Amino acid sequence: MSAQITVALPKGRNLKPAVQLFAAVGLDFTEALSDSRRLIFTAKSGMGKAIVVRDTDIPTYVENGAADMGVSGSDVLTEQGKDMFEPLDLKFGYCRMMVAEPKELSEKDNPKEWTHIRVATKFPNITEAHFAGRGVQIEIVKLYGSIELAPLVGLSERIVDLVSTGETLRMNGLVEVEKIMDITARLVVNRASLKTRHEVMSRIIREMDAVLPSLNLS
Amino acid sequence: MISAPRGVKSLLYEEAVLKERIERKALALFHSHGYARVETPAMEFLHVLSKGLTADSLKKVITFSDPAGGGKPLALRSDITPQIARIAATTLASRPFPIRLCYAESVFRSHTPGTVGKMEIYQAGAELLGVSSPEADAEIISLAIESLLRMGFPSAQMAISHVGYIESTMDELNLDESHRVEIRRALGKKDGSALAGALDRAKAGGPAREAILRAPSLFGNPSVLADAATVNAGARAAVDNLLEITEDISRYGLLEKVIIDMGETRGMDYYTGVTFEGFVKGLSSRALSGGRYDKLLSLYGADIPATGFAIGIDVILDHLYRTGEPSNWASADALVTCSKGAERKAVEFAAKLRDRGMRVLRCLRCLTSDEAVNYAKSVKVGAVAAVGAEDVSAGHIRIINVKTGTERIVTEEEALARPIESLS
Repeated sequence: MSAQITVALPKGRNLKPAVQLFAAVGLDFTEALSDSRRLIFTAKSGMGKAIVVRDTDIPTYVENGAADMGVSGSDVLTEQGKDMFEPLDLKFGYCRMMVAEPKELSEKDNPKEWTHIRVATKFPNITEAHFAGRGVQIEIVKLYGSIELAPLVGLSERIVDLVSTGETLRMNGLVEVEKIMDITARLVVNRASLKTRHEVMSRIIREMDAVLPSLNLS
Repeated sequence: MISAPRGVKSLLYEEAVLKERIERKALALFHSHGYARVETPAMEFLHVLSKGLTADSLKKVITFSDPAGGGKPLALRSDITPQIARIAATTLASRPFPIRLCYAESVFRSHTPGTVGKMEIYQAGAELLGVSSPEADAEIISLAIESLLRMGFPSAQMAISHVGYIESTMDELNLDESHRVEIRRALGKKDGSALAGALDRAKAGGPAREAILRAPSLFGNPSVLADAATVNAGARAAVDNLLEITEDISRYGLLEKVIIDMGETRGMDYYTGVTFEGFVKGLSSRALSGGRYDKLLSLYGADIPATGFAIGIDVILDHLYRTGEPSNWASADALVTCSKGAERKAVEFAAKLRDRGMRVLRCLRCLTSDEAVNYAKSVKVGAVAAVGAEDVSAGHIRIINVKTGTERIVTEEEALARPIESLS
């Protein structure tokens, strides 16, 4: 392994704040914001390199040590349950994991009385754990996108999905009925990297923790 | 489809030899410290093995039944330590202590599909039974460090923690098990915000709360122990124990290989005191793990303290096989082939080579030079020795270096006088 730190950054809306965060601790990957085709970037300081991957792949890269650290949403981390350190809540990338259903259904519905429901979601593990904790039996319809469509075409009565502004739900006639958890981006760190290179890794984590409040990332 | 189950594999040629070499290095080191080899059975009664396993580890046990065995479920061994505990508690308990045992075997665990996991895991380990002193733990930890150094990892790093520190601090707060689980999980991820949340939900306050919150920052060289907050006798005893253990490790000259990580709560299973994980650069998971388990043997009927560790031979093998230098490994030194009529000479020549310590294959039918070289290449033999070829004068042998293709004609005496690869 080289002396460099390898950082896994997520494609999508968390890329920009993640880049700003690493820039603030001396790892400048701003190139990654303008060049969407390249996958590997070297920090201007030469102290590290970044790989830019799908957010759902970040835990795999970090758990297996292909990256020393990365930025991942807590939705992905909870869903996948991989084994790594999650030392910092980065606060950006905020959204909510919600149970939603069609407006008409919600008007005569009482979630407390649910005993058996069908749910479409991208997050089967989170969904299962949530309803198991409530004693509600569920049938999960696993989808990879456009979850809001499921109740409109009768694939399921309810959905579990990420909600940010709530606009997509409203446009599709759905309302939020239950919050499962708040979601933010987290710093994740490979276990072996932290222990074998504890000085440099601990320093980066400490500096990030110190600089986070002043960065005002969103 | 004819295939092996997921999660198990066959080792061939270099990989099999490399595994043997890694295991031998570990065992040779253990033997040099007086650890005697033990071979445990591949299977146990499920109800006996499960005594020594937590609910989580039990989920991974592969069970089956023996049609002639009266219906009691059997389990493939998923962990060697409970087996050693059973053996020591039932058959060795009357011997004088300490007892030092070592092993190199596979364990079998069901793995989650889609993860990078294995069902057959190769391990080698050492267990020191019957002594609860810090010197016993220091011996085991030093042996663990030394084994990684011997395997060629100068970067080896041992991260040490102690079950008693966090657990005693939580005792102070009178927490129930569900809150403890939540706190251990947050500590295991070094997730400060989740830790604070878990402590809030547990309504934990005061110095014990502060001690738990600060535990993840007790990370680094052993001097961080001076900053440990000790809220009660249990926490104090844990810190004192680590101070004594690290002091004794320093007598082995290995203290620079040790870091303290008081926030580590992973894999505590049956551990009751010091716990440790070994890491090497370039390997993304831990290379070994171990700790003190003073209550495990009592589950099998004898109240005997013990400490030990297991090396993940499989992760080390994978790593060395992928990143190691291309080896000049050969399955044998020479393939002896011959022309029609020279069979006796060939057999005799092969026997003489073997007498000189060489590994020699005899060709079972006459091959041309090209055929012999191609075959030797495919089974990774270093050289071909052709006996009785028509174009070679009597008493001479053609030696072909399989790798380079160069050949030389030498007398039988010359061929026997030098290592065969240097002849061609």
